Amino acid sequence: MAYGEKVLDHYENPRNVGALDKDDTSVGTGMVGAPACGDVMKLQIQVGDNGVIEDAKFKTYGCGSAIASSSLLTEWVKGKTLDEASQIKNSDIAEELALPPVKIHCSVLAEDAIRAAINDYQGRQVAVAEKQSA
Amino acid sequence: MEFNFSRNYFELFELEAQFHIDREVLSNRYQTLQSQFHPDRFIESNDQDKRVAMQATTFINEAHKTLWEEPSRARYLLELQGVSFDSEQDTTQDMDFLMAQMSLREQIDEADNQEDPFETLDELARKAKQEKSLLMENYQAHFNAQQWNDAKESVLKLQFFTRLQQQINQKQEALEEQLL
Repeated sequence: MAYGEKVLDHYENPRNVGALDKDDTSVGTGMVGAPACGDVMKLQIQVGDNGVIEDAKFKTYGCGSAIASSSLLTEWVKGKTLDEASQIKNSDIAEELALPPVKIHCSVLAEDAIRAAINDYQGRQVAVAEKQSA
Repeated sequence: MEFNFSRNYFELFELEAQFHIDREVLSNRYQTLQSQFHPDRFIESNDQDKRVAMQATTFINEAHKTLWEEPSRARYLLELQGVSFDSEQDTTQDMDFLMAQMSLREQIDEADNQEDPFETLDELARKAKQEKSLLMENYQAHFNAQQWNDAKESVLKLQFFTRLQQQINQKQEALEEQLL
């Protein structure tokens, strides 16, 4: 299958591959898997006190489109507030990368991953606040 | 010529609609049906019959393929119960399960660095097989208890192990090529 130029670029030079400390309370970890293709995606964000995403890392086992979708997403969310980041749609990713219809689910996976990472981070903040008030 | 396309796959092969089937019976009935509707037998027939024979053959093949392997049979049984699968939208977010999946994939990647890469891969293949049969057992328990969503979850998780097995095979082939 022919991949678009932007997909290839992100696939060959993926940005922000790696891991953040998942036990750090300023880090949110999102994991999603697509059973249809067996792809597994881990996306992590590091959030500053001002609620802005300072860093993002990913690790994806999957096809070129899944890797490109997560790579692009980590670039996009850096510098954004959690609110802004949660508004990113899979269609934005699919459009930017010009994903063919059969690969749209890769961008769905990336959208689910950032949502899960934000949820995880927010869950941690609640836990921290409860601990402090206890 | 007539062929009833409204039968489900179990009805087509005259099997009970259940997870445990006799694959030998399936195989025999498949061969009988296949020869009965083989397009070669309809070369002299009119276009209508030719077309029905072609469609029937496709239907029979698809039915056989679906029931032959456990994962697709498990999924089909759920679909008969009205559970829908959507390969575009179905995702798994079970963090522990996915962490374990990622770790297994990392182990495949790093097999090269092990003292005996092939032994490492064999061990991973054994593990994948074991996990698959555990998931099949979970599936059956959930199915019998009519816990459709949990049964579906087991089928979805099974697909990750199927993919894992493919990746183990690919890695083995890549390593074998390096040795040549």
